Amino acid sequence: MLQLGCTNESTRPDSFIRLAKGSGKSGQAVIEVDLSRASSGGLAKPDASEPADWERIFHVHAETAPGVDWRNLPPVQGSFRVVNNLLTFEPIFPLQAGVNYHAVFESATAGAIVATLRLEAPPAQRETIVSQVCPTANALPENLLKFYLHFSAPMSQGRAYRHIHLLNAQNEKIDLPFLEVDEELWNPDGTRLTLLFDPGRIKSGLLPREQDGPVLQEGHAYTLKVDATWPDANGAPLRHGFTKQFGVTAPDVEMPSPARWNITTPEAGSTSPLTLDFPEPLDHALLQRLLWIEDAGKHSVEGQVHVRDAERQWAFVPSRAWKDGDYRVVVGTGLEDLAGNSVARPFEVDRVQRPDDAFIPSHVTLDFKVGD
Amino acid sequence: MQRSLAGLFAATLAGIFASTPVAAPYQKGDVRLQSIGPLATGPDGVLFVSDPKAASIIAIKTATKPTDKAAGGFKVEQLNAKVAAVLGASADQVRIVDLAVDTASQTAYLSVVRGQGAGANAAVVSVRPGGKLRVLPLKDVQHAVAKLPNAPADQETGQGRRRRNQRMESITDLAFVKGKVIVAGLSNEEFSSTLRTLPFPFEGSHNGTGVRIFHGAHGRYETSSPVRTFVSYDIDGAPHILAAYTCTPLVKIPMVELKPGSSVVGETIAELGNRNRPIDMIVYRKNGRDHLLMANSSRGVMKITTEKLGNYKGITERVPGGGTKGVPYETLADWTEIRQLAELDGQHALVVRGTDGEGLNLEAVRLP
Repeated sequence: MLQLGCTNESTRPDSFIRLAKGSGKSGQAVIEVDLSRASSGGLAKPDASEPADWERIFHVHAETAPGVDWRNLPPVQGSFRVVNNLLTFEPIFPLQAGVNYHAVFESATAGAIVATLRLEAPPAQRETIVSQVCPTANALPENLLKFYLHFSAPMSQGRAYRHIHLLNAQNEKIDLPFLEVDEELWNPDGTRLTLLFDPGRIKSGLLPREQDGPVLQEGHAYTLKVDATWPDANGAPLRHGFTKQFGVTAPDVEMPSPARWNITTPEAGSTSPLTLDFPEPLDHALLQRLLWIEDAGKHSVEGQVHVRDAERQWAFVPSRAWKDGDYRVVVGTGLEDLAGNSVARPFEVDRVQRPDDAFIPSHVTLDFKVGD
Repeated sequence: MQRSLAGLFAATLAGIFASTPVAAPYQKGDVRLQSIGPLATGPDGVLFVSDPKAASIIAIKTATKPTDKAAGGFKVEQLNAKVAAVLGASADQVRIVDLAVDTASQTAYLSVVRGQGAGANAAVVSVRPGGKLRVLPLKDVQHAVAKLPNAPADQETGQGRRRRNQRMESITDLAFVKGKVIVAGLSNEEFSSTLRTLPFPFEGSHNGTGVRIFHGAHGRYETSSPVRTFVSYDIDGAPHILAAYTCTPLVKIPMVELKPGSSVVGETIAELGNRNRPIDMIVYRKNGRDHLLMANSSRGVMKITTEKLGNYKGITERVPGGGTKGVPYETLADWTEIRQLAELDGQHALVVRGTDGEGLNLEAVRLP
């Protein structure tokens, strides 16, 4: 077997096996074999005409992991084509920068000839940070259901939980405080992770809670810690780690009640915000999705939502000035507080105390008027 | 101007899940996956692939042929390195999401994510008992797509009221049961669990059944409970779903209750211990008896008897002093490091098993 640069000029693998950047159908890198050079270099041109045959004669292997011999691994899969004596291998997925690819040409006369090819990766910059953690308040109920971790750029997925820790007041790690789901609950962009507390340790009567008690306990202090070593989607660690310290208050078993919200209505002709103030913080994500404004014709009013005051205030700034008229705030009854109690039902229903539910619509509305 | 709005409620709008999915019959063309989640197999070599980001289930007609050969020798060492190899990536950039087996053709399928962020690719890799791995072709293939009805609040009814949709529903499990594809979902915002059933073939317009799943603890406390994994099983001739919740209880749900827009409370038949997550379940028959195997994150693989499921009334009382309770089960000592579990044939399960470090093997294991 010949290795790159270890033979005479005419049969050097790099003289006829090369990486061609941007030559693939989607502009990706491909690997080319100059069959005319292979022949003129004294290597018999292989006798292959079907794409399946080419895989026997020319195969590319990735170095997938340290300590694993690439010769024992199946070849990278892709398509072959021959145009003007140029054999082109285009992998199904783009070649990965920083990985060694061993392109093996099975010559009838010279045996296997190997060229090692590699796309260089630009050094990954440590730029990504934890930009926000919700809830933003520092006093949180004992039955807190979740955190949202917001990042400034898409993160790597698949190993999230090993980079997130909950520490007690003695700085000791709490064992398995969160529900670890293989899917990891990311938003479509990969910039927000939903971190659920283990529901088995929140719900009454379940074995995990009976044996270990709740994760968070009223009157105690905790720290949520995110490791700086967590790689973002580009493979660069976070610019720095993140901590959030918080204290724990009594469990919250009350349902959010829109009847108790205070509304501040804007002046007609202005683009002043319509604001709702809540007696307790509500779920940051759901405040942006399950609350909106409709006009008298039931058309959604365009504008921007701002969640402020540690998720106790919802402010809506319209794109165009308010007109005189009747409006309504539409509230999806799935809107939850920090403990998962929604407008429709508490997180946990005690069927002894509350044997039946009243009919709960999917939405309720709060009417308001702009102008006289 | 500030005033209280007490008493200004008005009830509006339709039920939470009364939306209709868009479905189509088989067509030839390219399957473009935005993401990939669990897999399931169906009759005649059909493979169901879930795409959570697109909120879709894609049925792909594969070209596999039935075989009578036993597959007990199925073993692929260094599975993750080999999957990475055919995808042309380093092993640390490849994540195996799920395993499904077409028992008729003895073909294993792995759903795989390659890469991270915007450059991530979804792929299905098939594995034959002899160890041959192939990337399942997704170009110009016979397939059918069923769009899952997402929560209606995701429908854009006006511009600007949301900056960007952050909501996504992960698909935690998928199965083909008696002519229907059943999909278990978990939202990244509301704490809720929805089971949806899609009649297959995905033809015509139908109501994508969305059923809110609750859990009743000791017949008293009732909570939303995401389903982690489930399997179908007939109890006294009536089809049921045996589901394991993320908060550990194993429950039974009669399939007849999975009606559009309804809410279902699963009845606890076992609590399987704390610090543990269910991973996969299969049902098999041996020596004239049915058994349930359940793989767990930290409590190994449990073999659960199914004999008393019919007359088992569920756990309604606490058992003092902790411990597990409900239907009896045994933990299989030699089934260690099981990450994925699927039925291979009448005598074997196929498992993805962890080895030293980050390595994974795919291997057939004789059913106990």
